Amino acid sequence: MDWTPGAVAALRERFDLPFVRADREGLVVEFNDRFGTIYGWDSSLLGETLGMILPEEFRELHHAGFARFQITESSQVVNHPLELATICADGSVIRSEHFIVAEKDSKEGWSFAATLRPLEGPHAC
Amino acid sequence: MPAEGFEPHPETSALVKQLRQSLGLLRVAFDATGEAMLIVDSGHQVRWVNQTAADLWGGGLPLRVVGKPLEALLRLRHLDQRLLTLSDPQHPLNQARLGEGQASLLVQAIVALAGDESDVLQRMVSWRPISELGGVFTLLTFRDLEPLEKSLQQQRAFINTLAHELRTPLAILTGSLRRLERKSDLAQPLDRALGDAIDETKRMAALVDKLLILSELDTDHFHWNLKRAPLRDFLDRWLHSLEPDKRPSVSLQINESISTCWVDLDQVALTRILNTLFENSLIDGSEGLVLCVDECRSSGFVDVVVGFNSAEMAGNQQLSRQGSRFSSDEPEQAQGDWNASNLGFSVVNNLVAGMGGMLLSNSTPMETSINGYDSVTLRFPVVAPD
Repeated sequence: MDWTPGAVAALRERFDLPFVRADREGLVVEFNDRFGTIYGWDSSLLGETLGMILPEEFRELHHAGFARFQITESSQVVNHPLELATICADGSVIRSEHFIVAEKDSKEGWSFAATLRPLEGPHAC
Repeated sequence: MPAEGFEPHPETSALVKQLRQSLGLLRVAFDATGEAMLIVDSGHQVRWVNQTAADLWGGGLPLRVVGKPLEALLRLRHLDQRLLTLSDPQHPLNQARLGEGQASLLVQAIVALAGDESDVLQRMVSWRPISELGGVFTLLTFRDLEPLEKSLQQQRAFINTLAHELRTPLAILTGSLRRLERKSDLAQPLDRALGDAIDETKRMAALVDKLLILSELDTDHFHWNLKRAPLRDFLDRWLHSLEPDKRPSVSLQINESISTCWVDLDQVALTRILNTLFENSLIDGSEGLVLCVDECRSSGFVDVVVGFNSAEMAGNQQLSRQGSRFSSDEPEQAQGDWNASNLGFSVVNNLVAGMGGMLLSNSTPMETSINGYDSVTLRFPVVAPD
């Protein structure tokens, strides 16, 4: 598995970009204000699956990929910039560049975090 | 904004964990296979892929394949390089409407970033309709040819080349014999020998012709030209193509209720099918053909019952007899063993199958029969008019 200790913390510190983190089950446990501002989500997203912010056609792939990761601890989506549609709280879609990292903690197990760079709309960067 | 304590119900959590493990194992299994697999929806968009498909068409990332139209990822071609577009009835997604099947095709990935095309790979492409998911989906599987299949293909290619090579000397031989027949004034026994030589050369040329078609069908080099039209039009065109002295030997009877049913057929292939059945019927002592077009019990199909017209039986009698037989028993699908006994029937069987149809046989002990069959049924899927 290609992952770097401290990768999640490094991403979190990038205050200029929306940031979201999920636990080993793929449930959202944390996001920053920038994420909430751009994509419109509030605390109701916490505890929900990450699939909520993905388009419907990618959800099956996301769940299967997560399930596969639990067994193989390998993934081809981490540490690459990936252009994906991101679903906002109001159902609108913003094309964004996702950069996903994974990190294993001796206590809590795997944790996944991503920065999302909006590629369109008023916050495009 | 970190989450506060979130604890799902223990039973739910255990069930989700179990389901996730099953899903993960399935995903590992699908990703481990060397076959590239795609599930495509009715709008031709990719809904699911395994890792091999992602490696071929998504730079290793399934995310780059899912949600894309199939034609944006890959191009399919016949083995002779002809492009197989989505509008072509032979395209796997169109063939899947008729059921599952497979064909050896050339597959070319379209590299999205470069807007370029990659190497062409030959793959056995299988298609299978899936209707259990609350929608219309097609599973496409792309398999590399196994050594045995590659060897068989080489063998077929050899037969194909051989048949092509034999055609030219046979044509020269036939021409020379005919010239000899016209120019020379041979005595009686020699004259007969020349006549026999001409007949046998003709027979050999016909056999090579059939062998060539079979070989083209086997190697997917047969040039299909499927057109959508009423079945009656196809049959009428065949009737008009017959030499005037042969037309009276064919009787066409169409059930008026289905006289306007439409089918996807290749006129050249249908003509060859009916010509072959007609020629065989004449060789075997029949006086011609009775074609009876009728509704098939399996909905969505139309039957062309080809009866071999015997001297003992008037056309109407034969048809009524066929009608009663069909009302009680369904004809059986033609089996492989009867193909071997007659190259012509093998050609017919393969051409019918190539147009998505089925060749069915009836056998009853009759004085006049072809290969033991007094009639065969060509069953074709009915399509919506254009």
